[in-house]
Amino acid sequence: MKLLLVEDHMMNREMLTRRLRKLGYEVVTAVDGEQSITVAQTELPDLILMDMSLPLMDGWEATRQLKSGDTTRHIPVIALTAYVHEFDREKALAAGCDEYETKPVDMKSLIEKIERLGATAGST
Amino acid sequence: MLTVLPEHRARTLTLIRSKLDHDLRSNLNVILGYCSMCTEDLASGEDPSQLSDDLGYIAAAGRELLHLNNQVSDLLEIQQGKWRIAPTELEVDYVLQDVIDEVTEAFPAHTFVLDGEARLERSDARTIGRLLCWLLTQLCKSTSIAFTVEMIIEAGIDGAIIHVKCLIDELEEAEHRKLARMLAQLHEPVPVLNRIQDFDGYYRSVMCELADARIEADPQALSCRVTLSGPGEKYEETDSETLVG
Repeated sequence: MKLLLVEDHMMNREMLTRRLRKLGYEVVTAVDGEQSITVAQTELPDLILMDMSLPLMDGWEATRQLKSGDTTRHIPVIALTAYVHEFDREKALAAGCDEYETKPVDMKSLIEKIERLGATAGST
Repeated sequence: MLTVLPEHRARTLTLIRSKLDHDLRSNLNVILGYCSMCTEDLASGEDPSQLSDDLGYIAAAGRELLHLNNQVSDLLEIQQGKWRIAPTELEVDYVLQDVIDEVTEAFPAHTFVLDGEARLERSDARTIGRLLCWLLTQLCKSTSIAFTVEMIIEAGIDGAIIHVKCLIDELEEAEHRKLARMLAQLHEPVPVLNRIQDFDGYYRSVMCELADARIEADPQALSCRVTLSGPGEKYEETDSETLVG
């Protein structure tokens, strides 16, 4: 399964990329919201892990644009964020995110969501 | 003497807390994630040479956590009333005049103008002034493209938040995009609490690159908008927003 990880925090990006690759996922990355749209359009990942606090274009706006694009609207998006309040979750879902995972990341929970959403996307 | 609206203080405090919470969790994520990886690598007998880099990441995130912890402690003490809030007038025009003086010295052929004044109810005027100067020099130091900067200063209970929004028209070239990314780092509110480090050397080195600037602030404004342009463009406009009653 090909994942697009959108994360501006270098250490978090490197760490999550390595952990996901060790688990067998193909991982491509983007460092801001604008780049995430470009990479999503060219790489067409099976699923996107989207940090919400991003430079240039935040994760909420990037998700809105991805979900309105013809070539990317079908790609599941998991919000991956250090904002943990209920209204943050609601805001992410309202933007079009399919799931929500808070930092520090519980890898077991994240993988479960990736597999579930990836399978759903693959079956449609 | 200007006063700060209670809801304005509350909003500022909320912004500081939200940013702290976000930064704490981001660094905890680094530490916990790399610890898990190290444990897994050791258990699986992988090449231990990678461990050194990973431990370095953990240490860096730990240092950032320590710094953030100091900010949390400050915030708790403010909330518990252990810090006496002594309003101090900060004359922004005085701080900005400092900048203008530096620029004038470096570019004697240019005319630099500073109009108006604004006061902030603050206890750490020096810190805010330094942050202002840092931001100005950061934005002016290396570009020939036109850009617009909107800077809004919000006074909090003990510290200020400076919102900086950069609008850049030309984003086609790779270097412009790189610059835009750098400036975009300033999009988030910048808490002043314990924030400024290693300022002087940097300030001196980049100030000479500033080619042309003019800054105005509204006398009645708690926030001021500063608009600058790169060396290839003239200064264009100023505006301000009155946030106090």
